[in-house]
Amino acid sequence: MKIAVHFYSYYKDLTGSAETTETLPPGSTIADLLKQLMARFPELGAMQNSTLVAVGVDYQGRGYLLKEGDEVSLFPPVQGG
Amino acid sequence: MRYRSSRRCKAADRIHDLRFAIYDLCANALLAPHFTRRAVVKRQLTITLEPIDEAALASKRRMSDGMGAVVYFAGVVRAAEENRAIHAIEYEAFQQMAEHQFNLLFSEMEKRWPIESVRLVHRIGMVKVNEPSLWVEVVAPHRGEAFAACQWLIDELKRVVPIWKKPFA
Repeated sequence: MKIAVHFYSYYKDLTGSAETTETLPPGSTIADLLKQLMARFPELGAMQNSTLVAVGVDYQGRGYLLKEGDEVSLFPPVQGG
Repeated sequence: MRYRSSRRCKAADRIHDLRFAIYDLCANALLAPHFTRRAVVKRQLTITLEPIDEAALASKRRMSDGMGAVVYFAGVVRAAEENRAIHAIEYEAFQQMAEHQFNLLFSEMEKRWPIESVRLVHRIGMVKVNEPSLWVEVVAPHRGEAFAACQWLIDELKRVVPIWKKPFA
């Protein structure tokens, strides 16, 4: 299945792009997606534990079961205000 | 036959009355204050590239007679970030998610405090030193709940709303 991934804040600089697409086998979780992304973008590796993940407009944990068409966003801790 | 029909009508009426009695009891005891509170809470959320006009925001304040407290807060860009002199901060938002998360926070505020209104403006794009990047206003019957709700909202937005800053020296 294909999963669209969006990067925000300095993650765009680290990956050199604002978005990408990853192909994963059915039954994959966010943890699987992150593992694949870290292999492709090693610069994200150092932020593995602090990375926040959203599917659509809601936060999701590493165990979230991905499905075809999910829009995943990865970003560092937020800093509004 | 007529007697039976009449008995059925009376029984139906009693059930009907009972239903309304239960409804009234629930509404008065539990539901009515909740619905009343939700119905009157006004929300205004703006995420904008434009400068925050505090005077214009203040002039548009609306409060009902029962409200006794207005707490507002302006977050202003400082001239230093992590001990480094800067002249501006660029704010970036994941706008759709930010709006959703703000609305979740507003809903939680409404459950926790009897507020009448909440207005929040967050700037994105380049914000110069001494300019406000955030403006929040909470209107409530008493100062305690207004201060608490405003403080809580700001703390939570810094935890969950997807907005980031990039300082420029």
